[in-house]
Amino acid sequence: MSSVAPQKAVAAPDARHAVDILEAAFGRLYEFMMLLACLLLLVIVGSITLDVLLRNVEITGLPRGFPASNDISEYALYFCTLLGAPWLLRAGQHIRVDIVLRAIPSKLAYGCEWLSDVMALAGCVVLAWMGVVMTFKSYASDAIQIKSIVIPEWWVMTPIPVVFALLAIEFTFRMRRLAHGPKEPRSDAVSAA
Amino acid sequence: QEVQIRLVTAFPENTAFSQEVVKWSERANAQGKGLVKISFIGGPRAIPTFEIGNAVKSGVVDMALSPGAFYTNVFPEADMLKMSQIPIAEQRNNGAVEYINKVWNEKGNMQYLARMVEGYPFHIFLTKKVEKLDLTGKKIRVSPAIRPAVQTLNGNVINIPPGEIYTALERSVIDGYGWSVGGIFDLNLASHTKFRIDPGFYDADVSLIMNLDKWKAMTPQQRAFIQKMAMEMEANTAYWRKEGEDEKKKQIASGIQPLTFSPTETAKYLDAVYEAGWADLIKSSPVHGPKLRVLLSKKP
Amino acid sequence: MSAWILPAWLLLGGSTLLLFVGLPVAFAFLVTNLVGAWIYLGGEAGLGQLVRNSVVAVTSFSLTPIPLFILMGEILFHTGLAVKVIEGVERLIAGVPGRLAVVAVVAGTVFSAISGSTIATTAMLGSLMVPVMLQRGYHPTMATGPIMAIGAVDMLIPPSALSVLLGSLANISISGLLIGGIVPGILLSIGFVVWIVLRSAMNPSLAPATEFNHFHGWQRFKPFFKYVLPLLSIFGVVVGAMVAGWCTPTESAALGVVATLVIAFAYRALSLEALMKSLRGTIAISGMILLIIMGATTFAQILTFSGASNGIVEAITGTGLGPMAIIAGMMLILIFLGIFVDQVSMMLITIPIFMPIVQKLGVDPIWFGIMFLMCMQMGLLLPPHGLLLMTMKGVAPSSVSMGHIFRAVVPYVVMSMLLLTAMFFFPPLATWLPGIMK
Ligand code: NA
Ligand code: NA
Repeated sequence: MSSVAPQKAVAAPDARHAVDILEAAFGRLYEFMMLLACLLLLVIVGSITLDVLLRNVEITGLPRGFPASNDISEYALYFCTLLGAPWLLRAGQHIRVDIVLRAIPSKLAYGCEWLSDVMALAGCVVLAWMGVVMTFKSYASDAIQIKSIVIPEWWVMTPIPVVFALLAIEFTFRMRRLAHGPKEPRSDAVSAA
Repeated sequence: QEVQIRLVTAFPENTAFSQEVVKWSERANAQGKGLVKISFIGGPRAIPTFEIGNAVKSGVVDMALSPGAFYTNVFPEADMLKMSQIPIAEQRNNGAVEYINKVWNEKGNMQYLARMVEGYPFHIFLTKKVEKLDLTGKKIRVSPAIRPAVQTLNGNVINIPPGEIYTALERSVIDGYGWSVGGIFDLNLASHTKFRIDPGFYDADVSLIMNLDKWKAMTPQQRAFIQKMAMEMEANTAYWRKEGEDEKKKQIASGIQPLTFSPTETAKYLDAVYEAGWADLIKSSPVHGPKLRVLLSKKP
Repeated sequence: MSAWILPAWLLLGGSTLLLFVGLPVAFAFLVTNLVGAWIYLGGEAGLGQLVRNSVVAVTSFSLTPIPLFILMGEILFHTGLAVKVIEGVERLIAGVPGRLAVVAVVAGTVFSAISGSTIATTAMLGSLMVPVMLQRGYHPTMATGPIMAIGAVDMLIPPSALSVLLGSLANISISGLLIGGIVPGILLSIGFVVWIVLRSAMNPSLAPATEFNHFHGWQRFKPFFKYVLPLLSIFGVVVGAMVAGWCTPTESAALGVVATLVIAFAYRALSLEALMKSLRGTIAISGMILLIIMGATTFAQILTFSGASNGIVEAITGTGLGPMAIIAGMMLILIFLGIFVDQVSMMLITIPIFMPIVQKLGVDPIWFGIMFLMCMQMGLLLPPHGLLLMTMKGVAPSSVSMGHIFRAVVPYVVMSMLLLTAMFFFPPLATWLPGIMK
């Protein structure tokens, strides 16, 4: 996909039905997460640039280099990935291969859409649950991550159950949209960069 | 009944450490036919390096070859093995291994089987000469394991992934790096290295660990056999000491000069480096830290 | 039957099936991974390890250039600087047959040196230039072909998010791949220009020479010096910073972003709205790629765990075929895959199997990596499913048919194929530049 193409997929639906209102509310949550991800992206740029600058230019009073920039970028990249995921699913921007769906009869393709949504939903539920289990285990064992910055490991684990739970919820909304939509394959994104 | 044991290593499959443990597992399989069967799964492409401890703890793998530095996220005491100043044979006698196993059992659900590598210390490698044991103004790439040591020498620590060290050196992004005595040829770092500070400090504590549940589930006969094979591995640590010495010769041959200093300065440097390392470790483990320090350090 | 055959079918066959049933790529891997982890990593503990490995997979400094490179291109396109580039190039080029098509290729090459997105480049040039070219009597194949071709080349010339991804997944030097893409990228770009000029000279009806506004003296060069050259200096920052001694690939990507922002700001083109659009566009593309990486990295681990990776590698290297035959076979597989699936999936499906073979054969990974990139580049153009063909159809006026588009890319695909073949028999085409920069 390209952001040059219009992005209007997260438009609020008509607030006629309670589920529609709920769906719109989740849409706003995804928007907020997207905004956080955008800010983290700037944090990545800023911290790496600061590191390079301090390392090469001596500024009195400031240390030579900003060693934490490495860890900050790594964690921020991971958080960006998860924060953007539900928004992308709502927008139909998680790329897929639809060559078979376009080739087979549209009724059959519509059936495949249901099958894939059910499998993805199940996968997200399992991952969200295992995420809870693993985050709790990490918390209970006081595990810490020792890099340039030292943090409790469960801080890093927590987004997994949260985001996969959101993805599971979004897959149910997605199936509802499928049920109300035309009986044919969706036009989701099919390309990367 | 033959017990199936799944073995992974924290090092890529083409490294000397991994190849040694694969040979060891083949010997164990040959001698222990009908008793144990160790299958080698792979290196980091099977289990990410820093997940190896958790994989052993949870029983996803049964046995692993790894230094403690790679599983400090399971319990911080793991990193204390690198601080040992006395041989593993002596650690078996003075109660150190026993204490290690108590901690490893309790906190890591692991049995500490054997130390494979000894006498394979870390060194600081430099592109420019230093006149004294002080790294003020120098940018040094470190791993968390040796960060306190470099900081206590006033160096600026930089944290970049191993794959980028080569580029960083050739572009003078860094003035040096800390690395174990061997391995700088594998990453092609030697071609941009000019000096090595001697002596080295700390020690590569590459060891064999096993999931505790698996260990307990084996018959006494199987446990005895594995322990016998482990001791055979441990008896071979001299091999790595010699490897380290050979590696130094190879470094000299490729133009890397050792930098040595007066005995008093050297002693002061080693004291400072060990003091900084222990201070850092004891901060994260106030109970076991001091005890292991006594058990692992050289008697004054 | 060997023990690895069942897991190979289950994991590789299973994920491919899920992919074709229409699961988003990231979720196809995710579902396969859950089943694979349960069976081969061992029940609940295995699932737990899968979760942890997923976290580790994208918590990676060497993947950081991906969003940064994408952000550079987004800023270029959302601030309107791209239009200035086209203007600057257009005033310079005069008196050549197929002038506008040549302008498109040259402007596209400049875009390539700042942007990492083939689709954005194609969409931008296609929507701005194709209508103009059609209006001036260009044949639809001459209007669309060069743009799609140069859009694909964007992937070879740094910055390129896909090169970073390939380097990171396949453990090939990232700076080596980025720098190694320059020579083939520029060769293709020159080849395209030569082809356009020859073809238009032989058959002027394809690209009629029409009146255009001639600029003279300083006016002719002003936009080039004002916009094109400063923007090209960003390329200098990214590649230069890597080569000249300031920083590593990841860091040069961050500097590239800062340089792009500074230049956009200096032109008063950087509104808050443009910045937010660029950031959102970046998160959308890189978030999608990174979620796939999360699934694919753990997929490769499970594949190793199950014994399938080693089994397949042994089976292929044990066939008695020589290294060149095996490499050629891998290239054919890649080109074939490129017809059906996107570039990220191409890498994810093949790398876990291909790279151990490459290692075992002992061939130069940079050479292999650049050829891999060229196959992906071709995959963007191959009918019927090439992504840039779809992109072009989306932005071109409706008088351009899918048939025009299919025919339009043929000469450029042939040129890429020729260059790939040349590189196969003459590796310095790929390895020379990274070699002298060592
Ligand atoms: Na590019
Ligand atoms: Na690209």
